[in-house]
Amino acid sequence: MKLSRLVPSLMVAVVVGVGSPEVHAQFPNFNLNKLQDTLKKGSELLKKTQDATVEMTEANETETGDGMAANFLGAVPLHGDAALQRYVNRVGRWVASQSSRPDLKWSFAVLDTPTINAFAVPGGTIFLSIGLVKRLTNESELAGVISHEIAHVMQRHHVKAIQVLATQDLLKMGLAEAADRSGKSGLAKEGLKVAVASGMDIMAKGLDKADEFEADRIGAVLSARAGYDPYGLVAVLQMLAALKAEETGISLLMSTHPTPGDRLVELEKFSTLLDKFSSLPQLPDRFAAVMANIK
Amino acid sequence: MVTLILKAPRLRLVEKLACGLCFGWLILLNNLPAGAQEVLATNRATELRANPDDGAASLQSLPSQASVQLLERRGAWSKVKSGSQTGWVRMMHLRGGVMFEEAPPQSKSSGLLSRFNRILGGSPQTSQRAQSATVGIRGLSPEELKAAAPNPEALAAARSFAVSKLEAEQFAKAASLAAVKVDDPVAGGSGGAK
Repeated sequence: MKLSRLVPSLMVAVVVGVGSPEVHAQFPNFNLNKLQDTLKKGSELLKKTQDATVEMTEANETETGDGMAANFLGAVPLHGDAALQRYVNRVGRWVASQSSRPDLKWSFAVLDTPTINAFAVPGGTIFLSIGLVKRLTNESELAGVISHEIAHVMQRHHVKAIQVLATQDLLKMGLAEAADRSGKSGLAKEGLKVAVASGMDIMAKGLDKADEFEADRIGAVLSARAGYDPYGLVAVLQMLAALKAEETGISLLMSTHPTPGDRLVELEKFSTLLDKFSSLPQLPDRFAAVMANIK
Repeated sequence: MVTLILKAPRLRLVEKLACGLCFGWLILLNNLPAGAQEVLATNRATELRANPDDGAASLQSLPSQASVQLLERRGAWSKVKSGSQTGWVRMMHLRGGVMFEEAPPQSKSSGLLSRFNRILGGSPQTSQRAQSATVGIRGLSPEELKAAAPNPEALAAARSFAVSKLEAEQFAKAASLAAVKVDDPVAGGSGGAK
C-alpha cells in the first residue's frame, strides 16, 4: 500500500527531472511526451489498485460460482444416491430460506469422495463430500455444516476474496478495461475467466481465519433460525477435532480452515446463544433413514 | 477393491480370501457409527452430572485432561463413560484428538485399525499417500482443484435435485420444524433476523 503511493510521486519526480534542459542536452533524441504517456498510464493503473477492487454484480457472482462448480464436478463426481441428493437439497433450501439472501438459486450437492470436505461457491451452490456426510449422526449436524457454508455465501466471503485477487491478476495481464471499477457493468468475459481461476485458488488456499470464525457464528444462528439445535455444528467440530492428523482425506479441510479446537474456542464465546436454543430438535431418525441406503 | 484382489495374478485363492477379509475388517472399522470409538478428554476441570443440566447432581469431579468415552450427544451435553461411571458433561468442556499423541489403551479397535494402517502404508507421514494408492481416494487435493476441467453435464445433473422454497418448507413442516426468531449476537453482523 505505502509503496504504491510512493511510486506516483517518484514518477512525477522523474518526469520533472527528465524535463530539465541538462537531460535534453545529453539525450537529444529523447522523447519526453512518449515517456510522459507511459508514466501516465502506469499511474492510472496504480490508482486502480490503490483505490478499489473490481466489484462483482450478483450476475457475476452466479456466473463465477457456476464456473467453479463445474470445475469441482470435473475433479470429483456427483454421488449416485438420488434420495440423498434430494434430502440435502430439502434441508439446505430450508436453512437458506432463513438467511439474508433467501432467493438465490441455492443448490446442494454431495460429491462422491471419501475425503472430508464442504465448500460453498459464490451464488449459492454448496458441496459436501460423502466422506463428511457419513460421519454425521443427525439432521441438525447436517444443518450445522450447511449453515456454515450458507453463511459464507450470505457474507460474500469468497466474492470479496475473489474481487481482490482477480483485480490484481487482471491489471497484471494488462486487462484493466476488463475490470470496470464503476461496478455497473461488472466483469467482462476475460474478467470472468480470471474470477473463476481466482476462485479455485482461494478454495485451495482457504479464506481468512476471521471469515471462518464468522461463518461458524452465523452458521449457529442460521441453524437455530431453521429450528435445529445449534449444537449440531459444535458436534461436527468436535468430531473433526477427534480425527487424527494422518486420518485419510482430512488434509485439505485442515489446511484451509483454522483448527477445530480454535473454532470451538471462538464459538464458545457465544454459548449463551447456543444454550438458549439447545433444546431444539436434532432429528436423528430422518437422517438415519436416508443414510441407511448409503454403502 | 474386490476386483483388484480377485484379478491379482500372483495371489493364490486363499491369499485373496485373506486379503478380502482384511479389507472387509478395515472397511467395517471405518464405517462404525460416528462416536462408537470416540475417546475425548476434558479441556478443563468439570463435573460429570447425573442429567444433562447444570443444576443436576454431580456424580464425579473430573480434572482437566481426564479421558472419557463418548456415548451420545444431546443439545449442549455429551453422555460419557468415565471409568465405571456414566454421566453427562458439557460438550464444550470436551475435546478430542488434540490431547492424544497415540490411540488410548481402552480403545482396542482403534489400535487394530492403526496397525492395519501401518501395514498398508508404512509410517504415519506416508500412510496418507499409501492409503490413496490402495483405497483409491480421488479428487480434492489443492493441485487437483486448480487443474480441474469443467463438467457442465454433471453440474446440470446436480442442479436437477434443487428444490423450491415451498418444497423445503413442507419438508421442514413434516418433521415439525419451525422457523425461530434468533438475533445474531454480534449487532449488525448478519443483516438482522430472517
